Amino acid sequence: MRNRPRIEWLIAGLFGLTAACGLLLLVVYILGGQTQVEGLLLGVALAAIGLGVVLWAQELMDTPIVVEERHPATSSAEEAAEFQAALTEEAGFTRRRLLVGMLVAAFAGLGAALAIPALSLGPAPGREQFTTSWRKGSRLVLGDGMPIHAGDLPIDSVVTVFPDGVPGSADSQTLLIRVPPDLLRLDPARAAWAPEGYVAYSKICTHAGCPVGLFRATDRVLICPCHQSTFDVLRGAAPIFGPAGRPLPQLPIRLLEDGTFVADGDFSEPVGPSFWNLTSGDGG
Amino acid sequence: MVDRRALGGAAAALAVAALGWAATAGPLAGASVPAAHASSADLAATTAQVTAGTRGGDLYQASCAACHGQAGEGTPNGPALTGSGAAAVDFMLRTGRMPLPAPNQPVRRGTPAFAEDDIVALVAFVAGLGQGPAIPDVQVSAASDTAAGRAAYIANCAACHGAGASGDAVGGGQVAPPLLDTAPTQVGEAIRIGPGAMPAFDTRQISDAELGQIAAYLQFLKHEAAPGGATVGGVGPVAEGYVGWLVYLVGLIGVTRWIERRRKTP
Amino acid sequence: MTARPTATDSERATELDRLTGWLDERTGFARVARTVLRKIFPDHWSFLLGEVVLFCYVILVLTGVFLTFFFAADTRPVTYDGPYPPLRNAEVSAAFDSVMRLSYEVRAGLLMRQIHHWAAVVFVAAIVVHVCRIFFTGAFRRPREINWLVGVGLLLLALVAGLTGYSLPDDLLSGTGLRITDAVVAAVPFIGPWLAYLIFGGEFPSVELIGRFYVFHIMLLPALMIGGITIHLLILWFQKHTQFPGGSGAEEALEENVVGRHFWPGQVFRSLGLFFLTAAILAVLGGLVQINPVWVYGPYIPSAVSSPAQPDWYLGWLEGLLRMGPNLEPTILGITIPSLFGPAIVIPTIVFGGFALWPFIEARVTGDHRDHQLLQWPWQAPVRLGIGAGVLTFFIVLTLAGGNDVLAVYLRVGVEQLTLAFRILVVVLPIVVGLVAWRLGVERRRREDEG
Repeated sequence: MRNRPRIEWLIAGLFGLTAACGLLLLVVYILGGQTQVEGLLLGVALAAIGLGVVLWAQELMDTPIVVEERHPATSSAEEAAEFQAALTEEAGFTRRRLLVGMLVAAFAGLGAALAIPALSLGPAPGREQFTTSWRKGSRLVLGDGMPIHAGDLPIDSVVTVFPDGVPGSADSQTLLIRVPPDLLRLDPARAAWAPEGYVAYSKICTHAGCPVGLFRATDRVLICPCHQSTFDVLRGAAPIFGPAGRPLPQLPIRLLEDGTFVADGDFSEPVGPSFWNLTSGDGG
Repeated sequence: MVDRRALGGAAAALAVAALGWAATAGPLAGASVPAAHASSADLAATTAQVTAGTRGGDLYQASCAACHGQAGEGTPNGPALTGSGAAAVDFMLRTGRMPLPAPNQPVRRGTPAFAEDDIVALVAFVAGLGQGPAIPDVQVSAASDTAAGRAAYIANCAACHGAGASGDAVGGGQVAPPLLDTAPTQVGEAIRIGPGAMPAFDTRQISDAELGQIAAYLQFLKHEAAPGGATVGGVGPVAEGYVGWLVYLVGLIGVTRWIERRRKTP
Repeated sequence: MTARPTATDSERATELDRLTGWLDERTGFARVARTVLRKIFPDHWSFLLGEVVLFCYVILVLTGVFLTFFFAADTRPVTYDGPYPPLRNAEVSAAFDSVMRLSYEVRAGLLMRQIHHWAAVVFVAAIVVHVCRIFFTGAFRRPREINWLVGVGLLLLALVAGLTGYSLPDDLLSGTGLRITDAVVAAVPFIGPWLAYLIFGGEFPSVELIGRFYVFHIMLLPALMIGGITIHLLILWFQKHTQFPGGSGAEEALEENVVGRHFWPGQVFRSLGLFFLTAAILAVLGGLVQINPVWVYGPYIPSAVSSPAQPDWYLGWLEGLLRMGPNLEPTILGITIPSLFGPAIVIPTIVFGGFALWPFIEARVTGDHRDHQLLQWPWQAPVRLGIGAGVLTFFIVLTLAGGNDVLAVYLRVGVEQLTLAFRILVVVLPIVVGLVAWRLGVERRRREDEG
């Protein structure tokens, strides 16, 4: 045991600092608390006792280097033989192979049976992945439920819309974008889907499902913030950069006389990230 | 009418260009002409002239006409300003985005090149070149509804500028800048005009009242939204990861090495 | 030089004797404790790295228990009526509301939350460095392969614990991350959508999501991790710690011995000190540096998003894989292979599979099936050094690529250019670094052999 009075005083001082900070913490707490002060006081208190304890070990304790032999982990031949005997003698497993086999099968069957409650954790996907809440005649409304009118949107601008009745619906979230009509280069089969330069696409990225919230007005592209998938609005939201493998599904819309929009059906294809039976259409 | 103006303007512009240079950067710099401190309506009424001779006109010909055309008609180097309106000009000048040091440079936020008086004069002049949105009236006070501001900001702005208004890259070489130091009027102007890659927002998407509420929310974010301590850039887990690793590598590895340091025994 | 025995010393000794005697009469613990107290621990600073991991975990549990008293794992909508003005009257989930209350209305609540989250950030960083030490010194070789497997399992559990943990507040950023997680799970062939519905409780975002993650985070994962840590430590205890070659004479470290100091009091006091110092650093971080300010992100709204959008750093490698993945989405025989299948499922399975099986792979390739109690200096196994350096570089580049939009702003380059650069770097740089590390190791070993 070493005697080093100066170090002893230092360590005692450190422990005292811990005690003081602890009490101060209590005072700060009673006075209402403040995160930065609390963190600092707690940090100092812990650091002081930590330093003290380590210094004690390093400076005041005699902890010499010691050497010891390692023993191999393997059991001795005797012990191993005893183990083997204890395991198999009275059970006679080796003589009743059929029973052992059937026992294993029984446990496997039980295991399958016990999985039943786990299966209740989730419904089967069904047709949900293939449809949204958009129907023919669904009016386009904003998040507050009010219908959007043509003219509400400046050119080269974008707004998020939903089917009337379910504003905020997660799988039906749609982007309504207004572009100069003469710049649109849609598939001829979808020429009627974008009246007067107003075009609607699903807002759910086809890569990993994030809302495609960024719109670059200068080149009329939509960008998903999660992994930078970039979609060309003028060309049917075709992916032009990034990891998305298919375009954003397009919603067919019609402009009514009163200036509001309605959908002409559900999206052109299932929305959101692609999945294995996307095109084969089975309910799964 | 444009031809006559162009002819007359060209002749006068050459003379005035030299004078304008002298006044702003040359030997006459520092001799300021008092500008008209007028309301938007007055500005529109009194600055219908496109000829050189007004302070705004002088400055315009010296600093802007080379790219935007002498009557704001545009050139291959810069778009037309006839549809800009006061809001766009005020925004571009006050945020230092304009004038560009050279044509076809990226448009970036910077130190304004002009003093207050000059900006007012230029705004009045260019606004008079055509029709466009006026400078919005954005009011921020202690009583502003930051909750409404937050809701409007998250719905319309956060995707590009970030929930913490720290900005982010938007691809195509463009950046949605941080907004915590942007003046409320400039916030409102940007929303209405949609500068650069940013889309414009009509009053029916973001109402005039919401302009002030969003600006108020941004000020709240800057001053009062960090009870947890230093924000390290406000960009979220990326910066937090760097900090965590730095603290671990320096702090904790340092600590373990100190604990097992080899000391000379006495 | 020993201290003079004083009268009080002998009194204290008697009290201690009485206490231990009382315990021993009932449990016989002294018989076991005498070997425990004298257990020998080799003393290199890098051996403390695993303890840092353990202590971070202890702090996670302690702060975590506090948080569970206040958190409500419920997605039911409530109207916020707390003191944070920008959220006044906002409709939020009860989960988000409880985290707001914890941060703004419970004294020391924000400190506890932030210490907890910083501890998680440092916890996984400490695991990575600890794994590197084990790997580059060959500590995983026979007879310690089991402990390596347990360790890899603990690392994966830690990643899931982190993901489930930071998703609990149901805020805009973590909710976006959960949407991506759902997509990754659904990309598993054939059973993907069914598996996603099973784990998440239905179509995303389901009402049960937060509650379910809460069960994972506070019950199932801690149970598995505590069990794993116990096995990890017990194996370490009974096999005895490895040691670096070195020393001389009677104290030379050999395969057949263990050289170090006794567990008590030297090692215990140092470890105790390390615990307090680790806690101190986390406390200062928790108080001074803000982390995960959920009030800024706001409640999760499925049609809203914020950028930049990243998960916590330890999932940044996955984020990098997702961002750099090519947009290939073939449909073969009616089966669509989602574009994130390769990056998010195939590559991690191969890499982590190789990582887990490494002790067996190395033993097979080198033909070395002997026991090893002595460690190697990293340069003594240059091929392993090169491969490890390469894989480490791979993960570092991926993690940096996960923050490509943030980097693009700071480096003033286009984000598309940066992504393309990263796509090249992620293949080229690990190879280059691996080769360089291998050559350096070979050189060093040659010099050591000659010198």
